Amino acid sequence: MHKVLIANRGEIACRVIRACKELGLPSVAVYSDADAQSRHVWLADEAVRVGPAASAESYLSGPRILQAAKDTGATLIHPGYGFLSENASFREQCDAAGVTFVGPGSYAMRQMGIKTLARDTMKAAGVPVVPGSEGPLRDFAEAQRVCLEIGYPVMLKAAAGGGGRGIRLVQAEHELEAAFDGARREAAAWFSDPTVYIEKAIIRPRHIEIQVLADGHGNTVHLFDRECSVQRRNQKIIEESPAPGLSNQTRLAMGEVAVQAARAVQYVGAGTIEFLVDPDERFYFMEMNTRLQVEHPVTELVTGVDLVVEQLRIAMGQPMSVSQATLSQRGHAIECRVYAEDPSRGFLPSPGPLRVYRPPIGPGLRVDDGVVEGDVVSNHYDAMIAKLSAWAPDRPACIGRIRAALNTFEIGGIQHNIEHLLQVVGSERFIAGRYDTGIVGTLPPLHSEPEEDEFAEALAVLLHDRQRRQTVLTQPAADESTWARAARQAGLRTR
Amino acid sequence: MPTEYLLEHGTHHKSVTVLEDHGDRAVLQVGDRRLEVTLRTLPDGRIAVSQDDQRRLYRTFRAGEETVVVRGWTQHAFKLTDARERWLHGTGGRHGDSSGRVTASMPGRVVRLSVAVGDIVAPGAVVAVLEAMKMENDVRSVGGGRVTAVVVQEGVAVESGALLVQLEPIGVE
Repeated sequence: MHKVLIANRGEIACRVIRACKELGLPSVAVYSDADAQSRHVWLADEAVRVGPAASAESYLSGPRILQAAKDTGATLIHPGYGFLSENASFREQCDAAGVTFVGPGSYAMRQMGIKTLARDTMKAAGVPVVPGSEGPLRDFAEAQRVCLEIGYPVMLKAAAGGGGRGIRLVQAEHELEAAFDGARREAAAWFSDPTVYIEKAIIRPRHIEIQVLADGHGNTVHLFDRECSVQRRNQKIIEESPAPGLSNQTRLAMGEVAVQAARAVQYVGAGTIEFLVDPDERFYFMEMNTRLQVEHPVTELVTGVDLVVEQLRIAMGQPMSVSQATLSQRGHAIECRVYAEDPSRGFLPSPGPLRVYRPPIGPGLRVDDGVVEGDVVSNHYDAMIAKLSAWAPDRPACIGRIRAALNTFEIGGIQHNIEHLLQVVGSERFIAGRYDTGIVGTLPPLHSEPEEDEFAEALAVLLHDRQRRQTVLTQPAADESTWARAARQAGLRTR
Repeated sequence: MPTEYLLEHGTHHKSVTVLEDHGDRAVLQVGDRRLEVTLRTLPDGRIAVSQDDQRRLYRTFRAGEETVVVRGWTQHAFKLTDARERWLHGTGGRHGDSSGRVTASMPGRVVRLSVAVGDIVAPGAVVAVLEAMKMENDVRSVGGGRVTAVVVQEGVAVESGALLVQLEPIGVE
């Protein structure tokens, strides 16, 4: 009998636990001291403390995670995303310990993890890549030579990079030297490796990715595209599937290339090939993420495939339950990432108590979260607290649905980006479906001061509230009964 | 008896006057706008505020001296003060509120009324005694003021929240 340890926290840990429950597999949560009371801890069948709040000593500590697996008898480790999910040597430690890592082999992780290696491997496999340097740049002189060859503008990127760090756009030759030094410094600081490479900058690019799935029985399929161009500081905030306006011909060509790319590194599991797409729909390989993506729900909503269930099936040695011929995209899906950050203060993280937290529910809506009302959003980890996704038969209906849902998302106590999300999905360019990675920069800054009416209504509410507080005690959250809450508290006490 | 309140929001503040307050219905004045609103507490704890053509749903929570009013994803922290409270230092009491309404804190029987129309009541003074579950409980006013109406008689049974005595503020200046 298999047992799954989830080496992660927050919404993705809760998401994986849900898949375990659906497959009838027992689940083990791990937690740091900052997360002892977190939702994923009481959602799992068992929970093990793995260290203090600092990630390096808890969620990022391979030995501690493996010890937890050993202590609980877990046979599978699902890494989620981030933390140990793309760590090839952790994968090898799992193999040595006789625990199955839910993800690709260490060969694929290494080939794709080092960006310059990935570029060369993809080129050799016939996958289109952006023109640029052959492998890492040895020195500044080589950078100059490559730039003359491919022409400006160019992008400088960290070889060991990811998440938008260590990236510089260079418009002309006189900017190159400062950018070269800056990118190297940032790469050294973030990835302990100053190596950078050069790619030709694609103007007004779209960021479109293809979901792939491969099992240990020789089957590799793609699950179509996700449009991820709505980004702020190179971080995705809204994703949708299918990509609006992309021709079906390009979509299928990208899918085929993605399958080719996955096969080239003997990929097994769920993975994502990210492409840059120019205004003429020429597409170029950017990178492969050898793990489950944050934005996987939009693919699940339009294809009806549970990617985490497939990951677990594949890890247990079973064939995937889908084939390319049976896969199709049905309707449209949009995901919005809700971050605990303050748009009025440059999107600074805004940790603190979630005094009000009632996500919307309704037909076609999906909420992936790892918090409940009353939780404290920790300053130790990622600021993303929830993903709100909507599905509808077509894109206009889907936009209507996600806007209505965002509008009724009750949240208070921390600052958050919901107004910003509404601004994007309500913008002319987003609604027209003609946007690129520059869309967020075109929006005016937000300012939200209460209107006169709101002052008056607030007073009425405050006075009414005073009267009410004398007679009414705290109301239980609408989505949980007092019995369920009491049972949970009893469960936590005995743990 | 209009009552003026000061609502502070960050560096902004606005004066809002309650022209009428009937508990579930109130008439407010802000600037030159007059608003008539009805209020209802929903089972999930939200307060529904309705005007002619719109309804908004609010939640509140306390954060230090401020009360945060949450509507959907918007939240605004307000500090509420009113001239009468400041003058009389009427704080703390549990049975009543600053609108001058002294209400029953629980269902019970009125066993004694300590005030009559025209009396001047100090903040926190006992205005009535309620009996519930064989226990007698004092009902105190929050603010002070002059009694304008005694709504119940001794011996009657009242529901929780029922108005017992109405006070009006005494001029500040």
